Amino acid sequence: MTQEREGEVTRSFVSLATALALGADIVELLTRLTTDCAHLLDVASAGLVLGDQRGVLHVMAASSDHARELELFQIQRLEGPCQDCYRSGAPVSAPDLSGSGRWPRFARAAERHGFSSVHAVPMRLRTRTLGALGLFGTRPGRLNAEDLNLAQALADVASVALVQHDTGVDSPSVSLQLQTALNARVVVEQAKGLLAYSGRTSPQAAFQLLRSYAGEHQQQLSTVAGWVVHGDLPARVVLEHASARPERDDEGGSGGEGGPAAARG
Amino acid sequence: MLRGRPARILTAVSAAPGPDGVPPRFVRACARALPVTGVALSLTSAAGDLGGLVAACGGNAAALEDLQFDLGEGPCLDASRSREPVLVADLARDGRERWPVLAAEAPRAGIAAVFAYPLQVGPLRLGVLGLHRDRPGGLEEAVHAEALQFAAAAVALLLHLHSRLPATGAARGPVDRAGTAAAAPPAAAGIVLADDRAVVHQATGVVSASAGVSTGTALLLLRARAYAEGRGVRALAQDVVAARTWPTGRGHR
Repeated sequence: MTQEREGEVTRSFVSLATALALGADIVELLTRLTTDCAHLLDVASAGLVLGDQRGVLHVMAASSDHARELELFQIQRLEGPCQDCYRSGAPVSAPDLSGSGRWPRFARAAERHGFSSVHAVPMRLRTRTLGALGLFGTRPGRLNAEDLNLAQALADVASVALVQHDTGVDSPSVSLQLQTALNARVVVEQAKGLLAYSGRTSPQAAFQLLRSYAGEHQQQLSTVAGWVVHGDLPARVVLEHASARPERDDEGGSGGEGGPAAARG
Repeated sequence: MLRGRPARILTAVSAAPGPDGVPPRFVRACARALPVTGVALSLTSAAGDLGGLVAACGGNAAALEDLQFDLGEGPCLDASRSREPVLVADLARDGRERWPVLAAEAPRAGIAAVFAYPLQVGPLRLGVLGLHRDRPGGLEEAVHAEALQFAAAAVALLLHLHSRLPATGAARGPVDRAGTAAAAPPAAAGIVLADDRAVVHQATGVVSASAGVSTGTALLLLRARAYAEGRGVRALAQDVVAARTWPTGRGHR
């Protein structure tokens, strides 16, 4: 491994690990993983599929939005290297699709889109296979052992991300943006109710207060709502902030003011 | 591009004319194709709790979701948590031990049989497809098989809606997020919810403030009170938010 490449690989893992620790969106994280694969490995394109309870594969992420790649993954619902890899739980390699009669439909589609080789590594969780990471090349050829190992290591990171997601909502793990958005809405509505009660006002008016507080402190609405709901930011601070707000906010924006720690003191 | 029966289901649903979105059309197509009274498509949290109704049609599908949310129990919740379909041919008879309150209440709302299919991909929980009948009776093998096809189509549908999200990264900066969230209709990411129980969450905040308890405890208090008063959490929540009832303390009244 060249020094430059080694550095890139390290950066990729660090970036994935950081995203994992910060609670990134799972689809965003998987997309980043496929982009890294396409960049780091000797392939033109990468994509990731997961099986549902019936074993039907769903495309979760791809290094490019091009329909041509997506179609290649979709078609593998019926046949193809990702499908075989998912079923067997073992890596599948097709260094030259033109000479392979194994997946006629898939090979035709791949060829039509200019791909000549394909490799798939499983996403594993102990004895279970969750899905597969598919790698497409525009030239025939094997992936060398180093690349295959790296692909498997990246796939393992993705599996860890998925399993962390599974442990629940309380831990700072990755989540589907769908659920993050769902949780954000819940916490914003709760904060509206809490502020409305504390400030003898309507939920609509409470919402405006919350929104202006978040805007002025450059925070996400749901973040501020979370502080309010968990008692890290007293309702009175948000309410007084609004009533005391001057025509021009000369003293605002000092940075620390909006944080829960500052508000407590 | 999706192949097989689930693909044909989604293609037919997308092609069908109608002023409303794909999810409402999907649940109607499901109710037409299967011998059931009603269909509900719900999102779940990562832990498997009911998170919001995407679409429902027929019979008392929305009421079934509400009941399960209010009581914190039911076949849809169990299906989501256990990751297995939960099929209850006679709720009053077969559900007595597992969901005592629901088994007593649901039949009065015209819900006699419930068939709940978890919607998941890999280890990720997305939602539940809940079917019900107004009279007891199990699903035939072929009907169950077709329901599984609709569940697979529902997974693809939710993933598709999820993938139509605004671009991530810079566009999701703090200010933008605050602004978008402020203007947005009830939605979870790209999915517009038919019902997100906003009023229940607001009431949870009210009770949390007035009783000085966490929102988790506040929701339990709301549930307990609604149960004691023999009405739904939503109805009670509306009164709480309008300050027509209950919380007393340093805020209102």
